[in-house]
Amino acid sequence: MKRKCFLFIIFAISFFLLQMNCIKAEEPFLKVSTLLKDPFNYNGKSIKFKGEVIGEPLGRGNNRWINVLDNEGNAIGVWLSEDFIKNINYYGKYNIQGDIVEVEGIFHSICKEHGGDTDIHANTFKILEKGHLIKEQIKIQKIYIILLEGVFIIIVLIFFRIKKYYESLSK
Amino acid sequence: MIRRISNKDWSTVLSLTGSIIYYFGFTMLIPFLTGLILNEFNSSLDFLIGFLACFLVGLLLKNIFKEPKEAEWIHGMSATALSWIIAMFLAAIPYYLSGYFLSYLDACFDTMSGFTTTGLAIIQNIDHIPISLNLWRHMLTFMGGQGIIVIALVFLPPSGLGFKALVGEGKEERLIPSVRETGRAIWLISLIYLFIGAIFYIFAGIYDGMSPLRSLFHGVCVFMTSWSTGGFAPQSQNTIYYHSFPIEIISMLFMILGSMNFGLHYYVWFKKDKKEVLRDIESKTFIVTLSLTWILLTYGLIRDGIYTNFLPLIRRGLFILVSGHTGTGSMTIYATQFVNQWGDIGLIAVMLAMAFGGYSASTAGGFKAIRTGIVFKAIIADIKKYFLPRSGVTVEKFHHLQDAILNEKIVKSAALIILLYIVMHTVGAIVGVINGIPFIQALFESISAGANVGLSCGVTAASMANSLKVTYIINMFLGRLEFIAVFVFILFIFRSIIRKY
Repeated sequence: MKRKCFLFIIFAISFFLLQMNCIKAEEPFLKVSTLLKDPFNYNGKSIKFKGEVIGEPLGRGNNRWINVLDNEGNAIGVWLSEDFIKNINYYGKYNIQGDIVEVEGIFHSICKEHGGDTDIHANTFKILEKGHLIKEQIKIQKIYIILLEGVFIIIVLIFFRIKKYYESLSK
Repeated sequence: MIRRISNKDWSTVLSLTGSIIYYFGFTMLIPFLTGLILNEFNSSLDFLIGFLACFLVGLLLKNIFKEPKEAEWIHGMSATALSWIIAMFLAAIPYYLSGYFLSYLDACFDTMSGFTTTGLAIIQNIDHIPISLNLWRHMLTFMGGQGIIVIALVFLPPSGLGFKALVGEGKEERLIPSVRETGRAIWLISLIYLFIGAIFYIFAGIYDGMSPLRSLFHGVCVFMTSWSTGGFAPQSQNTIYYHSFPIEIISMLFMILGSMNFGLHYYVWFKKDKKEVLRDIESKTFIVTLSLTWILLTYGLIRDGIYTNFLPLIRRGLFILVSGHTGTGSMTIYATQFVNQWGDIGLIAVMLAMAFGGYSASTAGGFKAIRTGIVFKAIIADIKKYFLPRSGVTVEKFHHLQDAILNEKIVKSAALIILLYIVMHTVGAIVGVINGIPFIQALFESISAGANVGLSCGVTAASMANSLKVTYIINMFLGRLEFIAVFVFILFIFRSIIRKY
């Protein structure tokens, strides 16, 4: 009986921990649209934000700017320490998928330190997924279209040249 | 009696349209080559397809329809309207092929937005688009700002048709007696500013921590968008992306310069008459309307406790106001912040600024300062009449590049165009409301589209209804060509149909 009770407790604890893990995995990261929908509610509060680092780091000094793009296609400026920035591998741009990062920090709907900017001052910064290069694949259909257009243009040019020739003959 | 439209008239219009499209197509070779250099081959192919399409259409129209020796106003005006429509469809080809648009209509929307220097954008995933495509977006605003007819004029053989088409495009100031030279002067002024402006932006970008190459690209793009009062930006966050006060200040400077009459630039640069800028009725009107809307906006933002410090008032408040007044549309706040933070007074101040617009014969949209100034002067003159003795007569004058007498014809013409703008903004707002958008937001977006501004309060998105997209395309087109050329072309088509039946 004791053994059964023990197994049951182990099972219950495991199940509970699993649930906890699931809850943690589903922990909602705030989106830019959510922050901007109710800016005064989130202003000055600590929030978690997840997204792709895009562009390049900007500004000077010990703290600099990066811009982070959420999965709805909206980006926000994150003000963070140069030490965090050093860890970033890829900044998203054409043919580059930037690092996916998690930022925890204070949201400012109108930042007094940065001339009224809407930003996040990062306290913690984590790289969740390293970015990578994307290989460009040429679409062959585009080459067919170009060839078709080229043939059309040659036909048109020849046609008008012949027309001009006969017109000059008739004159 | 309105004259009939014959096949010969169509031949004249289509011949000029063909020439314009033919020369316009060559501009696609710039992003094509950029793509090749930067290994963006897919994008390069898109531009090659677009270039060949323009070449083919231009070649056919030029050769099938012969340009006559004599041309009338209806030919020039109609050719302008038709060229803009065809150019929109052709310039949208590389956009659509890029795969960053959900439909061809969306591609046409962004093309018209670029051409008309509006700056409303529904392109997807801007932060990952090829540099060549991004360059094309900004080139569209730069070329559209100077006018695609102006591009063609530089290459077209001199003819009477040129000036008539130029007027249709809203560039009625003939800087130099020769129309061709006027076109060249407009481009020369713009290229001088491009050189100076790009240097300013490049240094600001490097100071802001960008690499020299990135700052060169951003510098050229942001200059083109500021000078052309376009409003596009290389990144999705628009000007917010840079988090840079110097870039915002430089942008404000070039937005104002870009919204000024090309004639005034010509006076300053080539006639060395700097005082002309302050003598002109447009400058006086612009300063008054900008100051009044700025007072209103500041009052609203301070009263509601949005920006209580000086710096945010300048970097957000004044920047947005200048951006709206000059018809640029560059943004230092997010679109939804207009509604969720700025409040009604802020929205009204920006709407008024957008509606007033910049100078005539510039890249800016809106009523234009000259019309606002003329109507205001006419109202004052009318009031003054009541204070005159019975036999007294007053002659009102105004200075616009030269002294002129304010007569009924000028006042009527200015008031008529302002009235047309108001009707267009209202219609756009009604279509927005029909599509379920709250009135104030629908009006804001409608003014922004019709006055070729590009500020958005969040209505413009790829998900908006097609009817709204089409309405905004028409509004942008009408606003840029200032109605007359489009109305002439509609009447041109109408008279052609009447002739047949």
